[in-house]
Amino acid sequence: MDPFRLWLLFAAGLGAGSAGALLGVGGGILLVPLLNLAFRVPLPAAVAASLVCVIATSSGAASVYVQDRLCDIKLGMVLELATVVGAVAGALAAPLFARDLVRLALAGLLLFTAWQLLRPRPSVPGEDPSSYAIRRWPLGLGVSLVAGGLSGLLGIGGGPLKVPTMHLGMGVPFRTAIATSNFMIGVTAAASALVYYSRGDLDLAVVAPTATGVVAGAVLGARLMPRAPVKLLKQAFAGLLLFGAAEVGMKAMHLGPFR
Amino acid sequence: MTGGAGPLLAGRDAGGAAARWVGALLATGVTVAAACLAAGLLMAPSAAGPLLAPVGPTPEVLARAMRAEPTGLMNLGVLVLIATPVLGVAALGVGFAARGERRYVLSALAVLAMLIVGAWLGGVR
Repeated sequence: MDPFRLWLLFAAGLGAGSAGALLGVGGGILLVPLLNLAFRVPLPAAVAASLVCVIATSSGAASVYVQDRLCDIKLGMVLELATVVGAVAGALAAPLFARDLVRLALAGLLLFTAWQLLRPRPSVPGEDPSSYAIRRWPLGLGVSLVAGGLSGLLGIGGGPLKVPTMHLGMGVPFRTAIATSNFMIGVTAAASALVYYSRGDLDLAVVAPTATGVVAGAVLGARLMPRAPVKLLKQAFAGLLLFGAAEVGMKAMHLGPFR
Repeated sequence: MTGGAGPLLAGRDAGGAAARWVGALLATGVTVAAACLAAGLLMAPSAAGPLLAPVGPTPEVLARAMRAEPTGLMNLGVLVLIATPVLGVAALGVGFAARGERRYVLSALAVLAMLIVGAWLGGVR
């Protein structure tokens, strides 16, 4: 294995892990195209490596967030139940759906979510993690079910949908939503990762350096997140949603590098 | 569902004990996994092609890792990483059970059951 390539993969993992921990997403939106386009890793192996890295981001970040009491474990557990039901249903129903149409719908949903996050609002949930009341449970459960379904259908994690829903829809502070999402995404990814592992899709020469970097990045990102201004986190999150919308939309239309 | 107006921060209303347990378990899992992956990587021969996983059934992976074979160590790292969040959910279930919170015990058990169903449907044996 080329040592230079190993260090580059480690650096890619470090960046993706930090971003994932800071924003409550697995980083698959960034890692899959990066591995596929920049490192020439075949798509199935890139998706498999990305799933293992989602677990690394989730567990690395959640280990910090849970101990720092930033994570709402009970909320995460209830929403996770809806997510795994959706993920299993999505995987089973995958042959029945036109994936490009689902991708287009997801691109639209991500654009809408980015706009919701950035637009001025008369009132937004406060940031005190010790005093907030959760509202609109059906919305949270419904979005988690859909996010799980999309994960099963397209292999895309639910963080980009669940973080804004918890914050804007359910009244959860943005940092708590990020921490709770980080706790949840690893559980969803574990089942899929095991399937890819059993199938023999994992290339250890890619996974080992990338996941090692992701673990380091996730712990670093989790240490930085509580100090980062919420406005900056929201802007970065919206930027990630726009990137994700472009990636998924181009894939749906078979355009550019993401086809 | 929220049990009143207060938030559901398990770490707070559990007095921190359950949260510390789960946090420590997740931290141990990722540390062991990263150590296995890094050790395997450092010891791996400079092969040009991909190193496909798995090298065999789990007992064989363990045996190879015990012999400090690089692919065995890396496979073990991946398996530990995959198992970590699942064990976290199981530990939470135990924590909720110790506090008599049946609703959340059921949630944890249902999540674990769905993961098993998903893995089984995905062909994991």
